[in-house]
Amino acid sequence: MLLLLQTIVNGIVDGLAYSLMSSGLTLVFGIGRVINFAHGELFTLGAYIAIILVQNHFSYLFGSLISIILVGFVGVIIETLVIRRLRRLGASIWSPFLATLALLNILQSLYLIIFSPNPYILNNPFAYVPINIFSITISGQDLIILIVFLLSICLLNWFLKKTKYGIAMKAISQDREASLLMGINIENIYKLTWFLGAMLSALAGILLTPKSTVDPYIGRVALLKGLCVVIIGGLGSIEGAILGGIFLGLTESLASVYLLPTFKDVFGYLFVILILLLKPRGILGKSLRRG
Amino acid sequence: MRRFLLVLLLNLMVFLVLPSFAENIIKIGVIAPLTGSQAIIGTNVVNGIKSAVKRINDAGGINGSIVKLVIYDDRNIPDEGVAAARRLIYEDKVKVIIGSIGSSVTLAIQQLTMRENIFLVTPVSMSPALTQRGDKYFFRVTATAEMRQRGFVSFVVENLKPKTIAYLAVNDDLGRSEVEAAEKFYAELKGPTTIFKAFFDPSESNFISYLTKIKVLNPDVLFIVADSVKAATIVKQAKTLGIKTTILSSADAATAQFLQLAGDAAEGIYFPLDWSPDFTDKYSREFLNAYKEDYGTIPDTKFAVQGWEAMWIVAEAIKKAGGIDNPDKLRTAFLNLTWIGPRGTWKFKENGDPIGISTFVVIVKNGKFERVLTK
Amino acid sequence: MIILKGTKGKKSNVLLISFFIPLTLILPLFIKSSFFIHMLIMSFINAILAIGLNFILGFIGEKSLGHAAFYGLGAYTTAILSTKFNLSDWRSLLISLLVTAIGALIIGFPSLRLRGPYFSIVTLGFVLILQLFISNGGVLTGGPTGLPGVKRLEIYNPFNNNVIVLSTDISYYYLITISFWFCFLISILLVSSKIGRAWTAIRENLDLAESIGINSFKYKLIAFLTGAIMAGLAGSIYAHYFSFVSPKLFDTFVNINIVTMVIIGGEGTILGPVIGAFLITILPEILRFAEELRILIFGFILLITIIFAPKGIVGTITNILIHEKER
Repeated sequence: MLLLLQTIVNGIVDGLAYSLMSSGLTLVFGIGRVINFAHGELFTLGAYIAIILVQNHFSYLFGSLISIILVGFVGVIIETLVIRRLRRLGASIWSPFLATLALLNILQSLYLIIFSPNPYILNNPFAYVPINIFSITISGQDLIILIVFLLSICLLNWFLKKTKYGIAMKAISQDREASLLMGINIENIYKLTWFLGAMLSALAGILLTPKSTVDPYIGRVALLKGLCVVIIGGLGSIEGAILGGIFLGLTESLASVYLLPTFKDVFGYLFVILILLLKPRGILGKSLRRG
Repeated sequence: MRRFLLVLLLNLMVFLVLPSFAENIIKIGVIAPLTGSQAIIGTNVVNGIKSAVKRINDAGGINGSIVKLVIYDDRNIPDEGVAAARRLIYEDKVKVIIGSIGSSVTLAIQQLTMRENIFLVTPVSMSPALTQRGDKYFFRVTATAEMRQRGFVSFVVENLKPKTIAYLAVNDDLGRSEVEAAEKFYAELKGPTTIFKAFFDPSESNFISYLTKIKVLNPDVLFIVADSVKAATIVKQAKTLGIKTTILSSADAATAQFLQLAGDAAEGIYFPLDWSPDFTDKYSREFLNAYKEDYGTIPDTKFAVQGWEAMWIVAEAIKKAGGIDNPDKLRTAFLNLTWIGPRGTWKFKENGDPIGISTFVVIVKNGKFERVLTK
Repeated sequence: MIILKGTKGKKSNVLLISFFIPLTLILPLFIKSSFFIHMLIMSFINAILAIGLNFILGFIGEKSLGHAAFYGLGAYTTAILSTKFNLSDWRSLLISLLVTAIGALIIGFPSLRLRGPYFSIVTLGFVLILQLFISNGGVLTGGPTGLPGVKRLEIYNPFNNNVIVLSTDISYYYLITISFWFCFLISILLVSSKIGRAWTAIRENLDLAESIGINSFKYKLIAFLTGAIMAGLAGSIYAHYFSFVSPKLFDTFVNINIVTMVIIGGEGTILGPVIGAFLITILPEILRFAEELRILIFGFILLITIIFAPKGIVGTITNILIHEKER
């Protein structure tokens, strides 16, 4: 019984981590209509910048905040220099995909050259502190993730529903042509989308990497898990990302404890495929319309 | 576009026209992952090799010939390793290759070197398959999993007397071969029964679900196989979960890097150890001084020493054989040589595996490796 | 139909092909470098992969990220048959193609009903699952390390009841070149047939195509299956040539590489994937002088090409030529 409870808690904790990993992806896709394959590298960048700042005597908190904002700007740069150009050229919807892939290679190589393959640690004093509630254990970082994530979601929700820009973003995700006709400055909104999306990716990196280590290749897992979650939850839906993440986390956790631990990831992928077959748009997904 | 074609053409011409090497240079090919997921290990090994070559050349080379390294990156991808090997063999015309790290890459390269009678020496690869293929010109300058596990397993059975054991290992040739060897010896000694066994993907960084199950099963000992970084993450997460089981680790994580990353979660963990930068014998000091001189610091993994020793042994064999032109003479030289390095005395068997590198058991006490005195 | 730049109409196409085919066949007589032959062999293997992927990715327009699954299936089937069952001739080749086809059906039936990013991600998911199963397949698949010792391909010579073992690099060069031309010609045949026209219709407007009676699922399956079988062929030859297979064949990196070849070369064109394959195969080797910067430069070249030539090399050149002709 205790095992089941702990397994479920683990699953939810992992799930929130996965949701975090996917929120940047889903935002950029939902509004910008681009799957940002460099998402994992922004995740890594967030961690690296935070590490540099912490090494230079910034606190974990301040270092993280600055890092997130800086990576946000990187996102804007990507949108302005690359994605927007491809949009103008009227290239197929898939050129941005390959462009972000190229960025993945470029960024990853840069990390290797600048930071070397040696592992770095983004430390904060709470990361490994065990927190015991009724014999269920989670780590201090898990608690931080829970709190910060919920806060961010609330903030994002407020932003999307109550502010001028947020409503504009929703409008564009639903009907681009109509939004243009209504006088929404679509270029600025795209920039904003990438800013927020990149920030979320970096936030994920900063919150999750204290649980292990940072090297140039951690982005790959972030991208893969992120993609799985957006499939389960539905591309373009933040609520879907949360649900999707929790489902994925629970599946993996339960499968590895009660079935075959070595095949943990396989069960995760099989669950993704199952969802794709039964509910192709994801649990709460938006439809993919042409345009 | 035109300039690109010109560069392409020039490169092709270089391939076709490359002259063979001068008389008094011995070219040794090196294939290792310098980028990609195994880059830490690859760069460390290559650093060790380069340091060795510098000292060899400073002392006059091998029988008067200077050693020149031709180093290629394989990114831990078998195809790239083979491409690099082909370049080394057909373009650079080397006869001896040191490489690689991941067994998949080494095995792929071996298919080619076997066909072309090229000498291949691996400083790291663990897969037993490498010495089971009847390759006369292959030698392994590193302890196999069986060599590492034999003494360690005896120690565990005699001193810790566990009744149950759990395995958590990385799913690659290292993890698979170590677990296989351990299970074999435990069975022979009628040791603990296996109550849990899981292999995780090399990119995994979250072990909580495995550890949760292990905690509930409560084995007497837990054997983990992973590199320093992953092992440190595992033991830290285990500590957070409150796991009190005695932990055994494979030799690869017995590094200063592990101690630094794991902090006090490392206390009480047993390792088989073949070498550590703390050693003070003259061979180790020679290596450490050389490394410090070349790179400004002592190595934080032990893979640098593996590169160092592999290069020195190859040089010894070439010296004894009088050159690299006759692979059979080189093989004979290998089989007859005895060389002492930081890890001990090296001799080789017919199949290419080394004979009995001594390992002893250490435990982490107060953040340092301490040798365990056995009865 | 333009397949070669600047030419229109079947006659000049045939002329150009009949020039290139013998050229590639007599090339080994002039190339002394074994390394260069190896590069050509790898380029042709990749060209077959790219041509096969182009059917579903370029012509249908659905971006499959799972092509490496069929490459790996073909390679592993051949490897297992050779090392465990001592079978290394046309029969093992046939079985490998069969297994690949079955794999394509298993993956295709559920996936092809999906579109856009969903299709891409599910194909990627299948490859990852396959890779995990193979890595944990124990003695049968050689586990994470792979299977060494795949024997060479044997060809039965009916004239003197003997078996020819393909053991030299040159023999594999001919094998792969002939296979490549076979696949290339099939791609021309398919594209210029009713099937190819249906593909174009589906790509341009799926709903419209369906409304005039085109069964999109059937044509998607044809594209997917044909591409998969070609990949299986490439994989089989790979296994015999390298004598070794490992789970790295299913790596995301391989998948992305093949996709890159098709898009850089020009998706939806016939020559595009071939050019892309050669470029992507040879470029990293040329860039070896800047070892650490290799991937970085590679990424930059990719990025620049996408921004300035999003239709790929062949696509862009064709566009330029069309515009010039229209002036």
